[in-house]
Order: sequence, then C-alpha cells, then structure tokens
Amino acid sequence: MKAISLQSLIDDGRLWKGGSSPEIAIRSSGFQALDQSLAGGGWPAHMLIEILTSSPEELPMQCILKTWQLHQDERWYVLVNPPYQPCAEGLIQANLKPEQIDLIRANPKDTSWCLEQMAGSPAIASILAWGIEKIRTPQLRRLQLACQQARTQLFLIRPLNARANASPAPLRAQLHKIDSGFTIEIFKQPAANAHPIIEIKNDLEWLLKPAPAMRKIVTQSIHKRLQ
Amino acid sequence: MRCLYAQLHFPELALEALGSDYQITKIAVHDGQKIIQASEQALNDGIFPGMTLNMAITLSPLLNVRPQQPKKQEQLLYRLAHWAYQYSHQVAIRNHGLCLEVAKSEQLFGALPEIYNALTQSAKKAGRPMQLAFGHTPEMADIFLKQGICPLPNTFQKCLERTTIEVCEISQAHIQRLNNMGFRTLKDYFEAPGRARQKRLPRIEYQYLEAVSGQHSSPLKWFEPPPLFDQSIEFFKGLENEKMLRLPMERLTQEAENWLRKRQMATSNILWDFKMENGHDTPLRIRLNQPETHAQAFIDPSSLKLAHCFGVSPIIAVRLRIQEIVQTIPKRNDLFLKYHDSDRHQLIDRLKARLGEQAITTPCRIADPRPEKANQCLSKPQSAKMPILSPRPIWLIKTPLALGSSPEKSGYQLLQGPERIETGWWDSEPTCRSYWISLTRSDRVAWIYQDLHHKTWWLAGWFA
Repeated sequence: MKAISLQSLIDDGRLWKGGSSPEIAIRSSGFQALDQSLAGGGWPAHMLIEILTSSPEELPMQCILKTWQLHQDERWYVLVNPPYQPCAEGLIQANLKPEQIDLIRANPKDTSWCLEQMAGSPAIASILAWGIEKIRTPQLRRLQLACQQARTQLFLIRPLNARANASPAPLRAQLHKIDSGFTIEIFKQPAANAHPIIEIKNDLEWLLKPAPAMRKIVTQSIHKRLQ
Repeated sequence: MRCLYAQLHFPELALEALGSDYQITKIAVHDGQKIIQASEQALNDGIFPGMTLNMAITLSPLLNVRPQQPKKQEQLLYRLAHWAYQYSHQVAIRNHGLCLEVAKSEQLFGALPEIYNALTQSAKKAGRPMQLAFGHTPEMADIFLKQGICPLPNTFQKCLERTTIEVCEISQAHIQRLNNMGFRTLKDYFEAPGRARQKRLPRIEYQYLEAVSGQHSSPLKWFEPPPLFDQSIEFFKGLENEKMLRLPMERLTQEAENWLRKRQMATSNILWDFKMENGHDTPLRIRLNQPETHAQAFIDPSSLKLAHCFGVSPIIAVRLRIQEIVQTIPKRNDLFLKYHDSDRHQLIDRLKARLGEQAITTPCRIADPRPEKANQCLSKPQSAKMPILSPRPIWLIKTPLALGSSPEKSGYQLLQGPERIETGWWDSEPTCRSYWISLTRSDRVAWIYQDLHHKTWWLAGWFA
C-alpha cells in the first residue's frame, strides 16, 4: 500500500496536529483573556466561526466589534440580518468606516446562498450573520470551504440548541450574558482543546468622560455603580 | 494593397432563421415546390435538399415542413454581420451570406490561415455550420465557395484556370454559347483577347466574368452597426425552464459584449424581453452596480432573476436590448491590492438580482439634525460631512420602543444628558426631544429620549 504524506495537508492548514500552535492567519479579538484562550492568539481570519447564544441581539456585536476595529483593510465588512439598524455616526465613533460596511436583509430561504456568495468573494473581509435558525451540515461545509478559498472570516450567530449537533465549523463558541458583561466558552477550535469559560466585563469607563457638548449630569450613585 | 475578400456561406441559414433550436427538431424548409434545407434529424429520415415537397411529406409524415422566410433570413444575416464585424470593419450582406474585406484584418489577426481559423472556430463555438472562401473579388470567392475549396492568394490563378464555365453564375444559354465557342474552362476564356470576350457576351455577363477573374469588382453596400444593441433569438419549441434558456441568453450577452468592446463602451442597464407562446411579453430589466462590458456580468444577475419570468406559457423568443451606454473607464488594478473593484461590483449585482434592489444597503450620514433621519441605510451610499458632537449608539431601533412616563420605572438609569434636539419645524415632523445615555439593570447601555411635547420616554438605540 502506498504511504501518503500528511505534511502537505498540515502545510496548507487543512489538518492540524493536536496541541501544536496552528499555522493559520489570526486576528486579535481585542480582549486579552480571550486571545490567550484562542489557538494562535486570536480569531481565525479565514474560517467559519460559529457563535451560539441566547442573546443574539446584544452579545455578538459586543464580542466582535473590537476585532473589526483592530483589523481594517480595504475590503468590505458585512452585517447580515442584524437585529437592529446600524447607525453611521455610532460606527464612525467606534472607529469603523460605515462606507465599507454593507447591510444585507435576506429572507431565510436565501440567507445560506447569500452567505456562500459573500464568503466566496475576495472583496469581503469579515461577515457577521444573524437569522440562521436551521442550516444543514453540507451548507456549513460549503461556507467553510468558501471562507478558506476567498480568505474571508464568517461569524455565524446560531441559537444555543445548535450545540447538540456536530458542525464542520473549525471554531465554535458559546456566549452567555452575565450581570457585569458576558462569558465565552470555546468548545471547539483548531489544534487546541476546549477552553474553560472566560469572563469579559463590560467597558463602561467611557461613560465617566462625557462629550464636551453635553452637560454633565452624573449622579453620585451612578458614579459608585460604574466604579 | 490589393483587396482581399472572404465570402461566408451558412448552409443552414434558412433553418436557423426559423428558430435557433432547429437542430433538435425534425424540420425542413421548402421554396413552395422543393425542399431547400433539412435539419440533421430530417436528413436521417431520408429527406434531402432538392426532394419534392410531396415526396418529403410522404416519406416522413412527422416532418415539420415550413416555407422559407426571406425576411427572417435577412434579420439573421444582420445579426451575423454584427458578429463578423469583430473581424473586419467592412462587412456586407450579399448573396445570402456575408462578405468581409480581410486585407486590412491581416495586420490584426495575422495571415489568411489565421483569419480562416478565427472565423471557423468562432462559428463552430456558436454551433453554426459555415463555409468560407477568399478571393480578390467577392465573385471570385463565390466561385471557390461553390467548388468547396479555399485557396490562398498564391494559388488563386491556378484554381480559377481549372474552373469549368458551368460553375459560373450565368444563364444556361450563355454557358452553352461559350462551350460552343470552345471555352470549357475559365482558362480558355481568359486567354481569349479582351475585345473578343466583350463581343461574345452581353455586358452584365461579361462584367461578371471580369469580376471572377479579379479585374473588376461590383460595389458593395457595407454594413453599418446600429447605434444601440437590439438582437433576438427565436425558438421552434417553447422553452419551459431557466436551464433551456441559459444557452441562448449566453449567446446574446456574448454578442452584446463584442458590440460594446468594439465601441469601448460599457452599460449598467440591459433589458430582456421574453416573448411567450400565448402572445404576452415579459420584460426584465437588469441594473448593474457599475457599467460593465463582460458578458458574465450580465448573465449572472439575469439568470438569478429569470425564475420570475416563467409563467403559464413557454417562451418562444428572447430579445436583448442595450439602450444606455457610457465610455469604458480603464481599470486601474493596484498590484498590491488583494482584490479588484469588479469583484465587489459583481457580487453586489448577483445579490441584488436574487434578493432585490433594496436588500443591500450601506449606513449613510444625511445632513439632518434628527438622528433617525441623519442615520439611514441606503442602497446608494452618501455621506454628509458634519461634526459628531455627542455620543451615538452602534444600533438604532427603527421604531422606538415606548418606555412610559418614567425611565427609572422601566429599569433605565439616566447617566449622561440631556442632549436637546428641537428641530424639524420646517417640515411635517417637528421634533422636540431630550436624549440621554442610560444603563439598564443588566448593565446594557441604552440611548433613550423624552418626547418633550408628550412627556413620554422612548428607547432609540443601543451602544455596543
């Protein structure tokens, strides 16, 4: 029987050795504790990432915004079926370029097709997609392949019950809301073990420094709460 | 430089003029008495050109027999002239075929064998049978075409001399007369002194034979491409699904691409017309994100939108029109860029074709003091340059949520504010609000406002 070398697959980043640091492109998450838990030190830059949460309207953007702020190139960023309407002025204040962000509203029937088109386009840097209630494994595999080929990052927001099903997504994480912020559990990632739950606190410091145009009315009790 | 012409003959022109899908149909075209062209399926049944109409019907009762339609043949030749125009700037419709002046094309396409290859390959790719011959005059090319040969200029004379008088397009009586004089081949005829030749034939026949020898050529009416693109393809059998329509649509978009390229033009607006068997027309307009020249950029969004065009009745003709064209801007592709602008535009076109024009938007800033009007998501991006003085949330709630008369009771603790916005007195939506940044019980930062007219509180957005 002919021996097949696995080295080429390892070199391509399609096969990982357990416990070793994978040779994959990454993008820092913007949270030190999270980066330390992610294999390679950040979110994989060209992969399908599944985010499972019961608070899809709040946590995903809170978690992903920093990585978008830190890594901006000339390519486009896409929000698919976001829970609210993005505010251009708010995006500018968050150091993002609204003219480089596309907002797509697709009905459930077309969402998977639409994601595959975008994940397979070299013009897109990163996609954050909501509204995927049901998606079949072959479709997820196609999305992962499209991300690899076109070097696109795709965050897929899914409900918590998706955790019970196997998925070809190389990285899967679960977000959970807590009083002071949120927790993240990475339960599947390339070339590394599942990680204990990481707690990320809300950054409310900016609220103590109001804009000059605004009259400051911050009561003692709120000061205490924030500190 | 001596003129050089290519005469193109399309042996199945009469069939194709009736419908582009003739190859899959058992069909024959007649001139009232005899069969003049038959499809491959009809030929397999024993039908052949020259057979009488009655015999053909008796032999193959299922044969679809149609009279030839000169007007439709003319239209098809006109479409083919568009195609041939990419190989020569002088194209004429003559003798149920096309005539191209190719001497000047040699500079662009190379020697004659290469022009021959380019033309035959292109016709083959389109699935269209074609015969071709060169000559110093169109009449000389006709003579070679009739004999089924395609000599090069160095053998023109030799081939002409071998040609019998019978091949020439002159009446039987004149052929007989020349034969009686001892002229069997064109060599015999051309060797006779000029005055003797002129005396023995009427003027028209004499001039024709002079043209065959390459000495004299009748003037041609050159084809002039129309200012706008408008072409159509018809079918015998109505097409009932998108897959069947894909091929003719690709053919039309390819022709549109050639047409645009020749003019160095592009378009962002194409119009399809689908003619149904029940007589109805279904138009389909495709608007692209930016002017394009490539056939692929037209075909992708068109096929995605096509599903809406299939109704109860099959499609019997498809027509493509381009009514607006703009000058092509040369693409500036940066060596260090990871992608090209065209990738994005083509992606947007595909998405818009399937999801609808309004499904893809970009967050924009509009010059308006009201936050919900200043921040809109539009399909055509625009950006007003204004300073942003106060914090704005990442998310806006399109229809603000009512919080009642007191934010505290609803669990919203006021942190920063108020930002007073009193504006809009000039239109029907006057606004008088105090905006606050507030914190929910679960530490979520919200953007809320009090409507100062009604003293009610509303949730307007969320900070991330």
